[in-house]
Amino acid sequence: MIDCRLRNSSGLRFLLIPACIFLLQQPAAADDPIRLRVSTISSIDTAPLEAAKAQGYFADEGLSVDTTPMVGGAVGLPALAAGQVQIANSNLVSIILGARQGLDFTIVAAGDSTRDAPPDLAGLVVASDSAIKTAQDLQGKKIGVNTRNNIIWLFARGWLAKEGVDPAKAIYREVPFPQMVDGVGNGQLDAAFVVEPFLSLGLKSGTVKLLAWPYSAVQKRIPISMFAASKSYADAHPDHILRFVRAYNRGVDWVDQNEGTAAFFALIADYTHLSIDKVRELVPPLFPKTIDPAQVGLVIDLMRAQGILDGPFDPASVRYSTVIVPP
Amino acid sequence: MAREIGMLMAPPTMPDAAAWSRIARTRASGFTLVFALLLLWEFSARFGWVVSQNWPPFSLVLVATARGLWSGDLSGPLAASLARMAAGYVIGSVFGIALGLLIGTIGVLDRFITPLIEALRPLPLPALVPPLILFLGLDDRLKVFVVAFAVVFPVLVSTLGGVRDIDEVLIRTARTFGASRARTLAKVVLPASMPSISAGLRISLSLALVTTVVAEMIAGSSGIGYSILQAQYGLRPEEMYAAVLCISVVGYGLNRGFIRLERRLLDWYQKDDAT
Repeated sequence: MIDCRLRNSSGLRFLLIPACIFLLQQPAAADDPIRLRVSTISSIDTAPLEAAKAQGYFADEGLSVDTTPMVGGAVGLPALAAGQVQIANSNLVSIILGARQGLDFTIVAAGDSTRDAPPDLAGLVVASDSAIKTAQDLQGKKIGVNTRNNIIWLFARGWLAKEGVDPAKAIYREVPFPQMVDGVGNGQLDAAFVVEPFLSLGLKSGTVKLLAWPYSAVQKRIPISMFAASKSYADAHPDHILRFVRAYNRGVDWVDQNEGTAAFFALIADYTHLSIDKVRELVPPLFPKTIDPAQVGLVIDLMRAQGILDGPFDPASVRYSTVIVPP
Repeated sequence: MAREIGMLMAPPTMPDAAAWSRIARTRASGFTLVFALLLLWEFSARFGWVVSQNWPPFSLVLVATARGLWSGDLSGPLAASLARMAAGYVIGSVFGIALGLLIGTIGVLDRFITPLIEALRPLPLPALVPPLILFLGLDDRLKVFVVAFAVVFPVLVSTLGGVRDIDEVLIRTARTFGASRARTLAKVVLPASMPSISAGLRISLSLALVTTVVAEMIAGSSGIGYSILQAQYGLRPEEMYAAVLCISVVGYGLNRGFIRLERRLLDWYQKDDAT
């Protein structure tokens, strides 16, 4: 009997002590910042997010934004679909493909877009001694893209089609961006669609030369990367999204005002781990606050033409109110 | 025996050959090869035999390693990765041994579970990570699970092999002396399977390290795997190789440590084996 009581009381103690500690650790609910977990990528595309973090704009909105930087993997959207992150940075093509498959993605902040004229954030390169001069020369040749069915792959194909070449006649090899220049240099690839900073570095090293700017040749002001949330989360917590986008847009203003300054270079160098010298060589993209459905429509048309999207898809369906009228 | 054959084969008038033969049998010869390859690396980068932004001289890698370890940029992620690896390794090993012992001693379980194990064993872990995010998130839980998943099968299979190879006489003797099933398992089956279990544990040790790094590269925002990718995308190849070098040294150290531990704990088996 005594033994039984002791056992019970120790069991109770095991339950009660952690419960008390847990309760004591909870601060007053009213002062709690709202925790948002954001999957992001460590590139210049996310400069406003990092600026908003560094400048304390999220804190001003009562948010505690915990960024999960992903370098190589495309796990941002799976994590968003699983509810492991509340907001994910991803590219437009992947977001549309996810939405088409029934995942309730909605774009809450606009991210970045290409400019009206080159230099773009990515360029198609060939070896410096290559005989490839035109799109026609790429028929039957190997083109390096980072992932199939994403924006890089889509615009590589779109450029070939625009130049009158059947995109299916080229071979697309998946190669991570950091290895593309080496792949072209040693002949394993005939061309590669490389993003910055690997593009400028490759061009500077003399290993590769530029063949084309597929992005701006196909479409101006292409929405490249953006921040998506799940519709269910946005509907349940419209206030969280509003606060996030307000702070993010202040980050956009900060970037616009500080572009080209030492503070801007220091910010980019800090989170990308690039040296300041390399950051200075980058041409930043545009950071709009709205998503133009016409631009999304053009990307959707391209996706259809390249066979990765079929059936009707309303470009406006992936826009949340915060990218229609910025808060 | 090998030494005797070597001595017989070496011409008696050539002591140099015998000396070489002795050196070749020591660990120094292995280190010589490693040193020669590292020297080749250094020269290939210094003299432009390999031209790439991703191919820094080895000396710069050493400098980056020292700097990273000192500043914590490398030692911090390395410690985080080792902690994840250790957690996954222990969980996977305990499960592997326990399941192996159970399946090996209970016939029904063998027939019931073995097809499932054989189906799960060849699954490639990098392909498993994205769907696993759905259930386990992006943090330590995911990585520890992936490591445990990688570790459990080699340990299980070697444990099972060890249990199946036990001399039936040993078990019958224990039973004759009235030992219960559990006592036989703990006092006879487990110790007698230890050499085989130990082989599985050793294979899994390097597997655990590799899996930790791969998992961090796919879905990481910390750890040495993430540092490798971050350095790669940050155009800092010497820091990337510094992280690779650390993994290599740690892997080597873990393996050597395990062998020493194995020799100490299983010396009865080694001696037995030698005779």
